[in-house]
Amino acid sequence: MTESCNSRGFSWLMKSCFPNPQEIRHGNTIAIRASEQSSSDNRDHRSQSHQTSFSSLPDDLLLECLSRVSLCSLPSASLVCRRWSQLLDSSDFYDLRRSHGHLYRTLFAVAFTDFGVYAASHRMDTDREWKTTLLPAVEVVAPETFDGSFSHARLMAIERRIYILGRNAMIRYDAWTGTVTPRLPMIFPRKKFAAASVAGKIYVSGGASRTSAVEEYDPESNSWCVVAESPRRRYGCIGAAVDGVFYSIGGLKIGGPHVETTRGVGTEAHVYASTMDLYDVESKAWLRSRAVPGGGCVVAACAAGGHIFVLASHAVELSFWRYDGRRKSGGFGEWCRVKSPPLPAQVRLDSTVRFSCVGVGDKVLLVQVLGSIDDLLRRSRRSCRGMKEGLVLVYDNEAGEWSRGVYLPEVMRRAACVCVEC
Amino acid sequence: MSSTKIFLKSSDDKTFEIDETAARASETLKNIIDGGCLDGVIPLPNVSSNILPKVIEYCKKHGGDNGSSKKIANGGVDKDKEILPDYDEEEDKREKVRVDELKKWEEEYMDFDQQVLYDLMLAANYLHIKGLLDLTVEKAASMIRGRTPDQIRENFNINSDFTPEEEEEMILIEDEWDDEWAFD
Repeated sequence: MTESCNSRGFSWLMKSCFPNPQEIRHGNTIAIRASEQSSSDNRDHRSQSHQTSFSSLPDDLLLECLSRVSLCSLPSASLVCRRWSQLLDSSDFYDLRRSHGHLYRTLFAVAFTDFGVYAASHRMDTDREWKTTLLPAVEVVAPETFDGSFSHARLMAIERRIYILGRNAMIRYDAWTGTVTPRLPMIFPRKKFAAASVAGKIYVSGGASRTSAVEEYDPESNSWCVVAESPRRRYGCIGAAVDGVFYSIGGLKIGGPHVETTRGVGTEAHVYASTMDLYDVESKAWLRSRAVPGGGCVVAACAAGGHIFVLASHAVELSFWRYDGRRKSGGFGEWCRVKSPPLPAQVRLDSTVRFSCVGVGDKVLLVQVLGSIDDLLRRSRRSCRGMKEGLVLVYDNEAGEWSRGVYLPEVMRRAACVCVEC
Repeated sequence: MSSTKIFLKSSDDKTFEIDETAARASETLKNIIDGGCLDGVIPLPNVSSNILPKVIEYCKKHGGDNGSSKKIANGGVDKDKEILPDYDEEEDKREKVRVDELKKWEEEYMDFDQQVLYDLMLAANYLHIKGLLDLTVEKAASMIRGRTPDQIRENFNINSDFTPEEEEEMILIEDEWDDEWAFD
């Protein structure tokens, strides 16, 4: 009886000695050892010819070691050899870092300036200043495509990678390694379009006068395809995603009498598309479009904590709204007005002041990427309030309160923003 | 209970003795012991005779508990404080001494060749000794931190298998990330 018990215990033990078939390439030391266990007299010989090396460790142990390395050492580690770079690239590694608590919500801004392409990052759990780096983006995109391509770029994050979507070009920025890689641009050139990521893919719509196509980008295959036709064409719309639904929010109607006058002075003359379109990615179906409150001029919008937040500008005031996007909740589709950002009352935003709205967990960040509130006030003959440029305002959905974040660096004007967990 | 001896056989057929309490530091051995299969010798075909004594040394030091010095310092002491309403300074001091002593022991224990490190890591992984795995993995990670790719390759004796074209293509940005949580 003891024997049968033993053999069961040992067979389990032995089983765990054999390397996983997927690890055979890296785990050959283990296999050799298990097969040679009976020969005890050639130990010296064996230790010489089959010395365990770091490279012979199985993937899971190597991942374990690499996952404890700090963010600043990852660029170096990814350049060591193919295997390391592949391991660091794997979602296993990303998940492991998450489980070790080594992923931090980081706000990234990318600005295309006359002096180069700047990326600035700010870790949300700290009060430290933004860190600014120059991206070698011009080097990877042909200059003739580069010019004018990124003036209203959209940023999308998938795991720790940031996709910079421009009119005729796309760049991928790796927040870990700092590498910049050209990716395939959208099929249709777009400007001021809606973009959002759902289940590891990117969706875009609007911003093109010639098409109403919704495109999908698959990062794995680096390819774009058209997945649907929008119910209406929009220009200047904003994208967001909640619960598998891709929202194209606000913007101007395209196809009306004001199509060609979008450039230049204020937006008064245009017809606001005071609605948003809902595309269910999984079922590839359009849900009923919804009206957007607050006068229809959506200045900024984003998704956070199962909701969509919209900053709307109206002739007399700015208003901030929350839409319940949780499809299984009873409140799905309901709008509710929430506390407005702490900006001077009755300020009317025009095209000289621009905000970028980013959802970070349950919080909403309103980043002033262009213009000065003081200038706005001065123009409407009101006294200045000493409001700086590059404001970062944080709305805590839980508490329903606004607070101030760390100012965006001056070089980051006209930046696009995104939150990355890296 | 502590007198119960268990025999472990290395891959090269050498037998080692270990107390049952010490052996329980290994999840794998613990499962075998709890399975009631204590009769005879437990063969460990993945652990050689030059690594097994090192593993046993660790198990002896850590007996029942499974943590490294860090874990005890962070978890154990505070927990005790919460339970005891009267804050015992003496006890706290003793605990501190114990943690310091354990740290020193770990330092000395971990002073060995790289060759041993990998074998020990494999053994800790195979025997499911979390504290030892943490120690070894942490040591390997410290050999990567703050190093250039070349230094890392040299440290681990790795050859780059990138083509020269690929290496040229790689644009490494000199980032100025703070390293403050590297040693958390």
